[in-house]
Amino acid sequence: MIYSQVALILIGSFWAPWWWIAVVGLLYGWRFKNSYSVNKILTSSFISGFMVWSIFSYYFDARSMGQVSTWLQQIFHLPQSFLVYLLAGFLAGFVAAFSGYIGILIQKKGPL
Amino acid sequence: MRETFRRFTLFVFWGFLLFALNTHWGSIPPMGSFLNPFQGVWQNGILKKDRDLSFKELKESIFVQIDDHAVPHIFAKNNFDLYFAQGYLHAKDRLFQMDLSARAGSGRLSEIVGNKALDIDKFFISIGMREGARQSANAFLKDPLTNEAVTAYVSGINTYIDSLSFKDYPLEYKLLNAKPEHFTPLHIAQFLMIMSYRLAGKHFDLELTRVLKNYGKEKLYDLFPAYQNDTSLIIDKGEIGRSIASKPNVFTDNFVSSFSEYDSYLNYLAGKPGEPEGFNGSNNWAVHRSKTKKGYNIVANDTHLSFNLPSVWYEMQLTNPETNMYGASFPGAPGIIIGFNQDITWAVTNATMDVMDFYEVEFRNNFSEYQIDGEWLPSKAIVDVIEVKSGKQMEYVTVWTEQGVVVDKKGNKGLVLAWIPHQETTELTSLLKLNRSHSLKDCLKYTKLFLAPSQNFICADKKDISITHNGKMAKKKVYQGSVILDGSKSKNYWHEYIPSEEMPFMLNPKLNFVRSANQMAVDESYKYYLGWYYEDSYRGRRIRDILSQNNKFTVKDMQDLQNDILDYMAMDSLPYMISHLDTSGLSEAQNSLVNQLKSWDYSMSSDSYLPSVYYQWWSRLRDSIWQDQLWDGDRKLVPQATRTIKLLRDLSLGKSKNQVNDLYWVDDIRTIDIKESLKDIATSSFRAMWNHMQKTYGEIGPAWNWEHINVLNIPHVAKIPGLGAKPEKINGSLKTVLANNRGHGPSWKMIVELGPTVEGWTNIPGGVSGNPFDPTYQHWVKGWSQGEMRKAHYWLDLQDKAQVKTIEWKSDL
Repeated sequence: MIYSQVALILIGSFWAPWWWIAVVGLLYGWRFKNSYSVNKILTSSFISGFMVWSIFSYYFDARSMGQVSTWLQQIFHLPQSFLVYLLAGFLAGFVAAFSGYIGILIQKKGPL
Repeated sequence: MRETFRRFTLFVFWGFLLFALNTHWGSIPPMGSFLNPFQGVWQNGILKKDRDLSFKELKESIFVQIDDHAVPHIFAKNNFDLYFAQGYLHAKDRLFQMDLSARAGSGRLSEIVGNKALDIDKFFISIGMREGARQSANAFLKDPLTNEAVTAYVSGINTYIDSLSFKDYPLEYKLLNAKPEHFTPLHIAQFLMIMSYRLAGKHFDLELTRVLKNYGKEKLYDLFPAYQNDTSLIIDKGEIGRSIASKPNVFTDNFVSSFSEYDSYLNYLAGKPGEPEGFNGSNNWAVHRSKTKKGYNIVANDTHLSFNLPSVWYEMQLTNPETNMYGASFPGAPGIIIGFNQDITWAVTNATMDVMDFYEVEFRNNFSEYQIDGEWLPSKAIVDVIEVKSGKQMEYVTVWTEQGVVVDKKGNKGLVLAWIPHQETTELTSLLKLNRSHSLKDCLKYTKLFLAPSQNFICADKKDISITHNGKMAKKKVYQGSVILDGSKSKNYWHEYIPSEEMPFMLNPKLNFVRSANQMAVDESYKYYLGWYYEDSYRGRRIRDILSQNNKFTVKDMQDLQNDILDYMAMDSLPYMISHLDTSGLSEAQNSLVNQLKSWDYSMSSDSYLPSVYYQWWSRLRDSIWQDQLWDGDRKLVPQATRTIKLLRDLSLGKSKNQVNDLYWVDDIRTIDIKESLKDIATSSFRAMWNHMQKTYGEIGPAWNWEHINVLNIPHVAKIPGLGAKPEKINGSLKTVLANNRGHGPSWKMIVELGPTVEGWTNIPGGVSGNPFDPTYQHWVKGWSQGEMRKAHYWLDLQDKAQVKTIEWKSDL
C-alpha cells in the first residue's frame, strides 16, 4: 500500500496544490478501511507524506546549495538546517495521516 | 450521539487544519503551500536558465545579452520592443519589489499585507498620493513616446506575470499568500509617486509654525534662515546664468497663529512608517574637458537613498536604432533614470525646493464648501476604496479644494496640503526624451519637463557642461509656505510658477566644473525664493575644494572623490566643542582622548574610534542645546548643523551679535533655578558620550571603532528577516562625500568620461536579481562597500564573446 501511496502523492504533487496529500490520505482511508487495519492506514499515510515531502525538500534544496533550508532555519529559529526537511515531512505526514483517519470515518459506521 | 459529536469534531478540526495550513497568519506563512517541495519556497532556490523565447507582442525579434557582471543589454529594432523587453526583464528580476512600490505609492499595501498596513495606506491616500498618480497617468497619454513606452513596458510586465504559475512566484508572494496583479499605466504613475514622496515629501511647516507661535518671527528666522549665505552654493557668485538678479520680497504676514489645533496631526505624523528620511541626498559634479587630463568632460554622480535588497536601481543597457543608453533604471518605470548615451550624460541630486505648503481653511456644510476671500466655493470629495487582504473593503474620502487636499480637520477648519506632485507632471516624458538627447541643448530642453521631484540636473555632452536647479516651483515671497498659512486669503496661495528658463542654471562656468550636494542653490540675489530647507553644504564645500585644485583630473580622481571621507562638519565644529569643554574634572583617559581629538584629521574611517567619539558627542551636545525648546514628543526638530556650529563659534569667540538669544538656547529651560552655560553642556554631553560608549562598547579601544556604530544595514525591501545583506565595514558619514550612514548612502555610483567613445564606471549596493537565492541578488555589495567601481560594458553592437550570454526573443506575429 505504501508504495502506491507514495507514487500517487508524488505524481499529483507536480501539478496539484499542496493539499493533494490530504486528498490521497482521504482516498486511502476511505478505500482501504476494510482491507487494512486503522493503524496500518495511518502509518502508511504518515510515512508516505513524510517521505515525499522531506526527501524532495532535501532534493530541491540541494539544487540551491542548501540556501533555502539555511534561510528557513533562521526564520523558524531551528538549531540545524536539516530539521527543516523533517518539519516539512512531519507536516505532510500528519496531514496525510489525519486525512486518512477522516477517510476511515467517512467509510466506517459505528465506533472504530 | 457521542460518537456523532466526536466525528463531527474531528471533521471540523480536519477542515480547520487544512484551512490553517493554507492561510497566512501574522508573520507565519501559509505553511502547507509554503513548505510544499514541489511548488513552495524550495522552488525559489532552483534557478531557471535564460532561454530563447517568442512573444506575440513583439513586432520584431530582439536580442538580450547578459554580460559578465550579470547586467542585461537589450538590442531591439523599435521603441515598443525595447520597452516591452525592459518591462519583461524588470518583472523577471524584480516583480515583487515593483508591485510593492506601486501599491505603497497608492495606499494599497493592505491588499497584500493585511490590516497592519491599513494605517499607512490611509496616510498615503490622505495626502493625495492616489489622486496625484491618477493625474500623472493622464499625462502619459498626452505624449506619443511616453504612451508607447508605458504601453509596451506594461505589456512586458504582464506577459511575464501571465507566464507564471504559483511555483514560479517570487518568494515574497508565497510568504504573504498573495499573487501578483496585472500592471497598468497607473501602476507606473503610482511608482513614480512614491519616489516623489521619498524625495519631495519632507516638510517642517507644522514644526516651524509651533516655533513661530512659541518664540516669534525673529527667533524663527534666526534658527531657520531663509538663506545660507555662508555656504558654498550650487550656482557660483556671478554665474547666475539666465536667472535675473533682484532681491525677492519678504513674506511678512498671514501666518496662522492658532497652530495648537494641529498638534494632534503633528503627533500623528511622528514616526509614520512611510515618512521620508530627512537626508535623502546625493552628489553630482561635472568637470570640464579643459580641466581633465585626457581633455574629455567627466561627470560623476552618487545618489543617496535608503539601502534595500533588491536595490532600488536596476542597471541595464537599452539599444535600438534611435538610441543607445546605459545606466540605472527603476524597476517600475520605463527608460534610464540616470546614465549616458553615445553623446551625452545626465546626473541628478535632490533639489529639496519647498513644494509642499499647508493652509488653514474654513469649511461649512460638512466640508462641502470652503471660504476664500469671503466667498464660499464648492470642495470636491474623492472616494477611494481600500481592499484589505481579508476581503474587507473600506471607503476613504478625501476632500479637495482648488489648492490641495484636506489632511486634518478641527471643527469647521481644515488643514489643506498643496503639493506639486498632486498636479499632472511629466517627469517620465522628460526622462524618455532625455535618454534620446544627442546634445547638451536637447538635454536642457527636456530636463525642463521634469517637474517633480525637483532635481539638480547635470547635463554634459562632449563639449559643454551645465547644471540646472530644476523643477516646478511656485513664485513665492521669502519664507512663504515655511509655516501654515491663512487659507482664507487667495494671495497666500500659489498663482504663478517660476518659468523654467529662469531656474538657477550654469553653463561652462569660470571654475570649469559644476557640482551639487543638495545644498542651497542660490542666495538672495536670485529673483525667486525656493525654500529654506536644504542640506548643509559640507559635502558641497568639500567637492568644491577638491575640484578647485589646479589639477588635471582623471577618472581615478573622481572615484577617489566619491570615496572621500573628510568630514567638514567635524572640522568646523570640533575645535569649538573642545574649546568649550571643561577638562579640569576629566579623568586621565578622558583627557588623553581630548588630546587625540585635537590632532584628529577628521577622517571618518571605520578603523578609528575618533569618528565614534565625535558623532556621539556632537549629537548629545546639539540635542542639549535645542531639545528643551524645540522638541515635542517624537518630532525632534533641530536647526541645520551650520546654525548650531555658528552658535558654538560665536559664543566661543565672544563674537555673538545676539549673545542673549544664543545663551537662551543654551540654557536648559527645564532647570528653572540653574542657568546652564555652553561650558556646562559641552562638558556634560562629553561625559554622557563617554558613559554611553563605555556602557555599550566597553573600555576605550578598537571596540569603540566607527565600524561598530556606522554599521552597514541593507535590509530586504519588505524587511523580511534573513534576506538582507551581511554587514560589511564602511567608511564615511552623513556629512562626508562618501555619505555612508548605516542604511542610507550612495545607492547608485556612476562616473562617465565623454571621450570619442563614451565610457562609464558604476556600482550599486545590491545586484541584479530580486531572488534572494540567486547569486546576483547582492553580488556587488562587497565591492561597493570597499569603494570599487565596475567598468560598464557599454556596447555599440551585439557582442560575440564567450563570456556574454545571448538570448533571442522572437516575434510571434
